Amino acid sequence: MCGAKTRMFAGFSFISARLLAGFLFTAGRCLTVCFILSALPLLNGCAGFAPQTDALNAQRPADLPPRVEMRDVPYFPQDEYHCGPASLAMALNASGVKVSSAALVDQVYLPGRKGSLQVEMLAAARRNGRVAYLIDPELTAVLREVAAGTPVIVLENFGVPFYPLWHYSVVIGYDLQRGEIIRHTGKHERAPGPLRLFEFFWQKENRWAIVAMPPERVPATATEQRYAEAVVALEKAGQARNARIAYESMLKRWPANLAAHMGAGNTSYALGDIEAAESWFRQAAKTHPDSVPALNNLAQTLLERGKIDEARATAERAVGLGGPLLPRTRETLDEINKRQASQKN
Amino acid sequence: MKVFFRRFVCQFLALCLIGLPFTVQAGMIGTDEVIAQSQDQSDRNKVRDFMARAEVQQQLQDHGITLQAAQARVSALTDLEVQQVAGRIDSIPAGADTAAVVVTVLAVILLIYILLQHFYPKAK
Repeated sequence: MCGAKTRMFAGFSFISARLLAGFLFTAGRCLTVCFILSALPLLNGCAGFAPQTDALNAQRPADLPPRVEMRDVPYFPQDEYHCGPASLAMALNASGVKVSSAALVDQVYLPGRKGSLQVEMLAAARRNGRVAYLIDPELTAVLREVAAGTPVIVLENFGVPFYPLWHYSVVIGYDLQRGEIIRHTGKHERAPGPLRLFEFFWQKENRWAIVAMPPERVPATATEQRYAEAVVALEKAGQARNARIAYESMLKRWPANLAAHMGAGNTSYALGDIEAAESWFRQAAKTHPDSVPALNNLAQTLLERGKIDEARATAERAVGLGGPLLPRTRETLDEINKRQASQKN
Repeated sequence: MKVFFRRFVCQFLALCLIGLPFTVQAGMIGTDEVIAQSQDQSDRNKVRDFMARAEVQQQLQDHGITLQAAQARVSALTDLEVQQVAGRIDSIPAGADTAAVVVTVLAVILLIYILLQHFYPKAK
């Protein structure tokens, strides 16, 4: 890394390059610390340097504890460039999945970029049976999740526009009185750092932060529609069993949610539990009598359970509601009619 | 062109194979359709999503991922995520290392300083 830098400078000035290289090598970490310490008061004075931290310092939300630290989030030291797999391994193990950082390299690390893409961090969490949820781009959202006992994976950018340096780490705690955020990051287990500095590097990547939720729990800051989308993504990633639990958990927080009822039904159906599917779709049709998908899927499961008359009546109601899914509901009704005709013969 | 075509057909068939288990059984309406903001499940959109998926899978392979791993990785992405990544894999953030980060930040700042020192007086 330093060698490459030296070559870069050589083009401009040989003497400067030698001076700089020597400077960097000898000064090392001491210099970094000095730099951050000297820059901090300077940056502290700048308005807009860390607006959310300022707002938080001005008034702390009543529901946010002043100090939180999770001691049970395992730490995985990262190999070179492997902060993605390492961060994900910490979050997944904390959520109850036993997986090593090395095993996740194949799921998220991209050799051609010497790093891990954000969407793949989400996808890999799903492949391990966890609901990957992008939390709101707010510092308070990160702190609330941590306060609720969920480690948060964050993406920071330490670089400048023409030389970005992206890095994942895991937030495991904070101390608002001391203005600190505590993370497992890179080669540092439990590294406390200034909250303002964190916000500065974090906001450059649009305040990207995710949680990997065990299906039994719903994130503290989750919104109904977006969490439903996150669970559907888990279902579509082939994780029907975990998705079913996640839908049931959703219903505890949002008892009237249609997608959760439908998802519980569809995953039960996919797992071969037609009886449970019927019960879920029945609830969906009861709470949402005008939902075409609920009526259609209820009709289909009733048909498969041999309750043909009821299936027919339900399918007719679905067809009667029309809408963009009409061709599908018609298909279901046709199938029921066919079955009925074949039984009469 | 021939290579491209062959590649495309291979990917197409491979994606068909992965794609099939995820289609909901005939007659059932999928949960994704329930939450879709618009009921825009037109064939054109399906083809677009499908092509984007093939593209991302190819890009992952170009960046050093094996065919098998790339297939598994792409199939865990949502349609929206695939669209966010397709064609942009070289420019979107890829979180990496910190060991040299602060030193590099310093180096960049010093570089700017040196550049200014060298070129600014000459410009006068």
